[in-house]
Amino acid sequence: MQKIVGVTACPAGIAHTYMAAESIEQAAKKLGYEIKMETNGASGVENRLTEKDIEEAVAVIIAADTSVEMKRFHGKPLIEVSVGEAIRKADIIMNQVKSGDIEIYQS
Amino acid sequence: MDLINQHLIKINTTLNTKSEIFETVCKLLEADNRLLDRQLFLNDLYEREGAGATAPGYSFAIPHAKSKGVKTASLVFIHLENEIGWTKSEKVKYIFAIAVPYEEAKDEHLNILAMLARKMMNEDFRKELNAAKTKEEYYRLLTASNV
Repeated sequence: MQKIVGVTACPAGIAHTYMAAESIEQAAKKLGYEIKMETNGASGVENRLTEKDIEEAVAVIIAADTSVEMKRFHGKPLIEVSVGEAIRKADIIMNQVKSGDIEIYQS
Repeated sequence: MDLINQHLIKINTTLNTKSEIFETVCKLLEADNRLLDRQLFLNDLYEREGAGATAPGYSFAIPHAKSKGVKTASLVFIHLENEIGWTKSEKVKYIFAIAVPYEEAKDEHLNILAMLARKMMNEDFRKELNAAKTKEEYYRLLTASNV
């Protein structure tokens, strides 16, 4: 099973962070991917991505309305969207992952 | 103190603007002694809206703020009779307003809110919300721990 990782973060980190994570998780599972989402919320970083997670991932999804620690994703295929897009358009994002049409992130 | 109680739920209401809704949220919170400074909380709500409107679709709006004006972590739920435009493109009918004290970190309230946020993305939850009619039913849905 191919693995996708991602990070969600919103300014207050109370609600949208988790909605975006849930939305992406559901969409990824629908397409048969293994998925791990890190949430940068008000209670701090939860479900933190390890180096191994990132190394194994075929794609990275950043859904954030605030800054996220990005250096760790250097050289990975990466999609950056807003939290709102992740909540509403997770299926479209996931189809883009599937198509493989993703730019490589240069930190 | 619980995050939500039946005093913080208002159903079958008609409100026409975001500011009327925020006023109502403040009134309900104040009546339940959950605010320290109404204006400060309002400012923080608007500031968060400014950073990106809080209507993620499904007729939901989730205005929220972590604010020095808040005394107790709270959830206010408003069900509107009428749909109103939250942004130019997004209409809303269900308001989940979240107030969290500024200093509150690593608290169980935040976990409950995170769980609720995840619940909103669940189709069954949305169906049950659409079918709910009484305050008791909404209360039960909002506080149920199963997703």
